[in-house]
Amino acid sequence: MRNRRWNWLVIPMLVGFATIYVPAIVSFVLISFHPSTGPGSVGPEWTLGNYAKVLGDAVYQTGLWRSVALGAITVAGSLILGFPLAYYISRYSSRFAIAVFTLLYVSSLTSIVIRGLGWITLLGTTGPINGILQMLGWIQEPVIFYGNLLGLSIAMIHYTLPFMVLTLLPVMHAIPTGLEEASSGMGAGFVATVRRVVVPLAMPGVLAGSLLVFAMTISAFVIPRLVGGLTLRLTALLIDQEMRTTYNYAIGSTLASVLLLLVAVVVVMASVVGGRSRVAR
Amino acid sequence: MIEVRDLIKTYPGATSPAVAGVSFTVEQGGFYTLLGPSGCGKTTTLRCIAGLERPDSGMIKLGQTVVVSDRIFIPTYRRDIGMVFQNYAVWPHMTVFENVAFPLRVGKQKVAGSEIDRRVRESLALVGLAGLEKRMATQLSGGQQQRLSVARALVREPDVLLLDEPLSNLDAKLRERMRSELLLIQRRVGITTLFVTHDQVEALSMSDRVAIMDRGLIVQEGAPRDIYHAPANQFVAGFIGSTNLFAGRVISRDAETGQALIETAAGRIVADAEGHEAGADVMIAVRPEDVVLHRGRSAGGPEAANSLGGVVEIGLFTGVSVEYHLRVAGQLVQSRVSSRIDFTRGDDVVVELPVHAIRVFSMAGSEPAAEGLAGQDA
Repeated sequence: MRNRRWNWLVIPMLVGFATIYVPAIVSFVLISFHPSTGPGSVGPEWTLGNYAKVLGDAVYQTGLWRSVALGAITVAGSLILGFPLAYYISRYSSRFAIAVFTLLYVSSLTSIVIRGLGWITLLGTTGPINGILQMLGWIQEPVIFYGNLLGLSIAMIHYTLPFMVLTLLPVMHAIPTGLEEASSGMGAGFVATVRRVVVPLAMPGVLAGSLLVFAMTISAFVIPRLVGGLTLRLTALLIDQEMRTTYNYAIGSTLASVLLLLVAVVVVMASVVGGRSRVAR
Repeated sequence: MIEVRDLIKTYPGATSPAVAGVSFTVEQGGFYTLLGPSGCGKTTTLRCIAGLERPDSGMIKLGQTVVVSDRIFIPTYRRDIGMVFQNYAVWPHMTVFENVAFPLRVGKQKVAGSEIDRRVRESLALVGLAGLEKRMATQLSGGQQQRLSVARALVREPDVLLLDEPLSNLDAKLRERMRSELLLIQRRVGITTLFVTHDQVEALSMSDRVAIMDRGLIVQEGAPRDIYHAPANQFVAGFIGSTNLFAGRVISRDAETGQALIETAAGRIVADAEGHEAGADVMIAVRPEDVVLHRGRSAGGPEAANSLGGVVEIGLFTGVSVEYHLRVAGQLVQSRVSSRIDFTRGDDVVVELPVHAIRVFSMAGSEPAAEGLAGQDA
């Protein structure tokens, strides 16, 4: 409010949004309400038929469920790995913590294609991970990671982890260490302090990071295409197929609209939860 | 009871230790203050006692439990302490009630819900926050937040209470009121209390005993009155209250009375100078409120020892008193007198330094004086 005179600085971005992004979204949402009249064209009349088809068809249904499941697993995985990591980096300014942070940051700058291909090699039936598991005697037959949610989740968690950590870090930094010292001074051990003080205070970051990772995951294309293969049909892959292979713009737009709605619902849910936790502050 | 022996703590990368061998004992139910400028090691000492820092060596005993020694280090959460921090450190995501209930909920022994309820209310009533249980902690004012953190520190009924500059963040009026309130609470509960502050008024007014710290060491320990009226060295004299310091040299000393004649820039001064031989370079200290002013010129002569002729340079009227800055030969002297005494700039005055009010230190006065530490190291 105080800095209202700087508001004009956001104008370039708003202009870009209004002239490119918003028309694009509006046009595919509009197309989703028109029937397909052959490759690359839609008819003028209005219809809900595309939605009926998308929500009724087993292939599209499976695609949606898999996308949501992958999103949920990836959020959980990046949170389980990212929360302790962000906490560690924010609390210990040791060389090791800085090295960990740098490693994470640099790995997020690596090409997504290279990372996808890397995981294919690592997770292959004759790859090092199966090799180690067999050497340890934990498995007899190689685990198949390629073309299923297992391998894809691993790759997606790796891909999204830096985003989760970078979102959590400023929130963790903003928690005064005095609050944790007070906690241990009042008799709480490490686990109780983390559970009762750190986690609740880091909640805004947890929500923001989870939203970011979820949205990134259900719309991800490159890694699912590389690690998931052709058989694991996620919504994002189906959209590509409809748009660029069968030229069914109506169905492609409908799938895209459903995905958009899904993200919107999750955002609203998260802000309701976040709003509640803010009231409780 | 708190017992600290030979505590040493050096922070990684620091050239000198933050705490360089500190020993003291806080009696059961006592109010003990570590007082000193920032960087003197007082907060580090408190943090070692709390377990928030790990000392290099030394022994710390809380009640009957040794919490730090060569072989023992009991972590903070298992020490029987209550802590109050400078920045309150109340948990912003909890209500007032939950903040105070926290120590009871996380403790080793399970406390029943009704018992928690009773003790939280009791604790909040003690600090005068009854009725605010449902408020969020951050909705309280600064003073209320500090009361909340006192209630939170006491609810477990710990052996010792550690206060780390608890009043420094409050505004002047509130700080004054909280001083007496905090002391009243401490007296009522009877808890052994260690208080850390850089504010001498807090230290002198609240404590049973005060330890003055400088560069990681306790330079003087004693009751507030003794510290104020009999500072052990120049550092203490300069740190506690305001003090006129004169550099001088002992001309002669009467072995029987112990009184010496000391030559200073302001003139010759007679003072008790036990342990300072003729020819020794000394520093003498007189508190401004001990300097007596008379109108007129000095009569001079030997009978008028310690009555020096001066000229008023400026007078600062504060209401309670007036602080006069006087030029006495080559020396500036401050005097604090009743505000009814009225001089103007340029007035001739006789500046009297009563013998009993003068303290004499050897010139290397910033080192702990031998007499000040005698009997304390034993």
